[in-house]
Amino acid sequence: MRGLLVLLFALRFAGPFGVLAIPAAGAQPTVPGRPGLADTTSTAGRFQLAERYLQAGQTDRAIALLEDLHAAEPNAPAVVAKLREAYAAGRRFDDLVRLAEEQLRRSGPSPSLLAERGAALYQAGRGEEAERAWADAMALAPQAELTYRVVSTAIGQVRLYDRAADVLRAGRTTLGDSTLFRAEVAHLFVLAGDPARAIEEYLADLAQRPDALPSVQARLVRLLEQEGAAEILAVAVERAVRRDPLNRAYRELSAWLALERRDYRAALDAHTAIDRLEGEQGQSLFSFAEAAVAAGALEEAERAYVLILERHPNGPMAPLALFGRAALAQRRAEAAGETAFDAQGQPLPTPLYDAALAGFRTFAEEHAHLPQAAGALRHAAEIERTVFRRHAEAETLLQQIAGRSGDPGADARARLDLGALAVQRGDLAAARAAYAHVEETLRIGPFAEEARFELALLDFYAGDFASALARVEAMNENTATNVANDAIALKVMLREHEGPDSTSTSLRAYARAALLHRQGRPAESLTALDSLLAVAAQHPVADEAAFLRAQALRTLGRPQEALADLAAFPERYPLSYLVERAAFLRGELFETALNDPAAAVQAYTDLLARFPGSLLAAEARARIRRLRGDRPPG
Amino acid sequence: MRLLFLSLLLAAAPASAQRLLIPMDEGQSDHLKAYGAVYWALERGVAVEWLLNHRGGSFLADDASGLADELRVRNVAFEPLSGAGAATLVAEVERPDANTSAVRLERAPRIAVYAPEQTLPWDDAVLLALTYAEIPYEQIYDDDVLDGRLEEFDWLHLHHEDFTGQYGKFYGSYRTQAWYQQQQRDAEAAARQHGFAKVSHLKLAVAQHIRRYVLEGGFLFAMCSGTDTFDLALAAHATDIVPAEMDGDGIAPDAVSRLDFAQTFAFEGFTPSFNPMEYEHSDIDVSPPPALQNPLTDYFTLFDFSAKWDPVPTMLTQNHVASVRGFMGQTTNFREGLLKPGVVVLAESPGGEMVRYLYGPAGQGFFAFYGGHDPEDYQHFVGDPPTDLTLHPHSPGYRLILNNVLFPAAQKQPQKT
Repeated sequence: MRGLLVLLFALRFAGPFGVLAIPAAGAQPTVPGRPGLADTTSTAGRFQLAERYLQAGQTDRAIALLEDLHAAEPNAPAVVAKLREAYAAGRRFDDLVRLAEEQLRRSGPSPSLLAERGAALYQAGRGEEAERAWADAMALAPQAELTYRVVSTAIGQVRLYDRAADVLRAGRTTLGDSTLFRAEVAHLFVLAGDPARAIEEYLADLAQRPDALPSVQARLVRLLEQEGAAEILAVAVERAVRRDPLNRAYRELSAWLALERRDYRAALDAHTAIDRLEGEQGQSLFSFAEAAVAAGALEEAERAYVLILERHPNGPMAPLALFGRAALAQRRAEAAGETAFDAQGQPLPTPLYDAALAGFRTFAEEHAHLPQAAGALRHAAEIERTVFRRHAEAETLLQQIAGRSGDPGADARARLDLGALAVQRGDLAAARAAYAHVEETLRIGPFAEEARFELALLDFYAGDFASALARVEAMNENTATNVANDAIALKVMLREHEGPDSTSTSLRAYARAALLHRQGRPAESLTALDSLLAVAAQHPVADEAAFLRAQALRTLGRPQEALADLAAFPERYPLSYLVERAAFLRGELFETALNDPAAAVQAYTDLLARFPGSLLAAEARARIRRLRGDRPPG
Repeated sequence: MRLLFLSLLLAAAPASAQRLLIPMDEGQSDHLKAYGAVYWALERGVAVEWLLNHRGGSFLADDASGLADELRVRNVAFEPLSGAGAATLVAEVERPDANTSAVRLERAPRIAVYAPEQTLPWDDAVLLALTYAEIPYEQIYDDDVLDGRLEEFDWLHLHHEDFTGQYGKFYGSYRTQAWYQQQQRDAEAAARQHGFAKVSHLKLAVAQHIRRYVLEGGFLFAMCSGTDTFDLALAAHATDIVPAEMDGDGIAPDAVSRLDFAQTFAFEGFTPSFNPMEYEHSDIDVSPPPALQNPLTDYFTLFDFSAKWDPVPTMLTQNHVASVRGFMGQTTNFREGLLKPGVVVLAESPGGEMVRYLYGPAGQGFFAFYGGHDPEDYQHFVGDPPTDLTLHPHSPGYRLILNNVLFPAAQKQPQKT
């Protein structure tokens, strides 16, 4: 049975061991291009037919044909080889032995025929006789390298890899050359799953052929999956490094192994040594730092950047290390939740953001000619704007990119950010100019779409609903992008919430409150919303206003009031599409603002009960499970 | 104001429902998790009835202990019913002229999975099913079995196991692999520790403990090579069927004639394979015909049983489909001619003589054997990653496994035809 099958070597030994797609037992293999017909008149045609039977898994038919061919032409090597393959595929090992012995009688003994006979005997379950056959093969021409290769290959084909390696090592001794067969023996030990002996052979091979390092690494990858193998390899390589500290291949192997084992401290040490011993300018350390960042080993990455900057301040990698270090500091600050102000607006220490900002600014000043300079300015502007709320500084930085960068993407991104800053400080004309520039310059693509949507929002904030609607209707309705989804939501609102008066007073009031909320003025937004709801509680925009009011209360640190509003939401606005979001927001408020997991679970459960088909259901289920601390069974 | 979709409102459950119907037909949103939710209810003493042959083998449970909320969290579809509505449904299911029946599930069975601690390079379909369905289980192995712990459990599962002591007959292909060698070392150490000279003797003792457990009222569910090697080991209790490559000594010359089929559960008259290079234990296993060795065409058919007169096989074959996609294993199908009298065929593969799924009584207990390795991985190769059941929440093949998990929860030992 081939269910849980032998696959590992299926490609290597595709004939007898591979998994074949087998057609129906009675099916006739066909000649390609001539369905249902096969040329059985010529020897070549019969041979091809046998091959196809074999490929189709019909070994008995293949064997019958090949035996006839072999009887007619007993010295044809192709027929003998194919018959051998067919016997093995049909598990007719006694016939395989008989064929090998017949070949021996016909051609006389040779190492290869004797080795093949040994393999056949082994497959037939006659292990001791197989050993004698292989010994006879080696005794036949003991001074020839080829003898050992032939015998080892035959033994390897029946997957006795240790035994195959022993044959090559015996040949090494007999021939008096300890350097022979290094790579072959090492590979056989890899196949045998013996990391200790494999690495010793590879290290000896690398001592002679340091260029073989990539192929050695490729072979060793297979061993690394084996439990405990990485540690065995590391110990052996470290020993080799101590024995021969100036061998670069050993050092590189050591560094590679440390990375594969996710031992970033050891990997940093190894790369530091390579950097020092090889007189590098930080290239190896920089590669390591990038790998460490990708793997989340931020401390070791930071040390690598510092080493580059200290050792090679004028080297080619120094600017990149400076940029990398600043980006790393920003990432660590975000991960640590560093904030510049407390709830009362008092400043807090921000060492990581300070370091990141200084790094980006320095990079932008000292390496303005490099392509990463625009990115550094943008990162710095982002920190100024979002962390320190210093909008003027952010604007100054972004102005350095806009119009001066050769990169249209960087230019557009900077202008979009400038537009957002202008909205925040209330200069809607400047915002409009920034967005319009992007839209007119690019016309198509994600930046242009974003600019178009922002222009529609500006129209909306200004109460120019017809213009806003025209803009969003012109947008690409690709719902895979956030901006397109936001545009659809705005379009629906504009179509459904205008009126009833000719100036759409309620919608204007809502638009003003939304702008205030976006500008980070939740108290004023709340006041505007309260005014709106006081006079237009029955207006279609009331549900949007009530939902925005709950969000403003949340921002103002008044979660209990927000919860009260949200609790009443389904009753007040039973047909609103926002009832699901309101239910979810209740759960979030309990979970994050009030730190009340039981109430949060109940709120999310209520959402599932009321709206089982909601798009938010999957996230609600995940949050319930996380809050309950569900664990897998077993 | 935008309109909320009416369907969402219609789907919302009223708070006053007294019973919950968990449909198991095409309308179920997660068939596999439904079993776990029922298990969860049984653990909390909630009364559950299994409505055999009604809407794919649906469940009817009291709306108690927060079951409705739990079903929602697990994304298991349900329909609230009033007390009167539920009574009407049960009466309909119990109508004499309908091939349906209601079986009361009493308590959550205690589940043991027989599997080694050592991580082997293949998945275990039952562990996957239990984990996905969130059904608690305990993993036990030779030490626990020999220490008499089986009596703590109602249900025992075996999967890709080799009770003949031949290490899965991977010798031909994997004897040089570290996991194979580790498996052999662990087994030999365990045998020595328990005072057995050979691994085959240890495994025989384990098989005999399991046999006694079933005869005394336990329930055994086995898949893949856990099925035929179990009977092989029991039949060979007085002889040696293990080649020298695995245990150091040879096969007993009279091994075939000394097989004792009185000891086995499901099979008789079989012949072991003595070739160490062959990935096959005996002639019990039979491959699908080559033309059907294709995941697109390989299906097996579940038999219909009388829900009122044959509730056990009916429970074991509850499904929302009649034909289940086939899948291969070291043991895929059982040769029909080797079945013992009294063994009930639950599913058959096309092509003749190939039984896919069977069950039978043994003493006070039952056993069920299910061929193949992983119902959602047609050919699960050594080293393949485990199947991700989040991609197969409606898997009919996995449902058959989970039917077995709930079967021991049934209130009465039903009549057998």
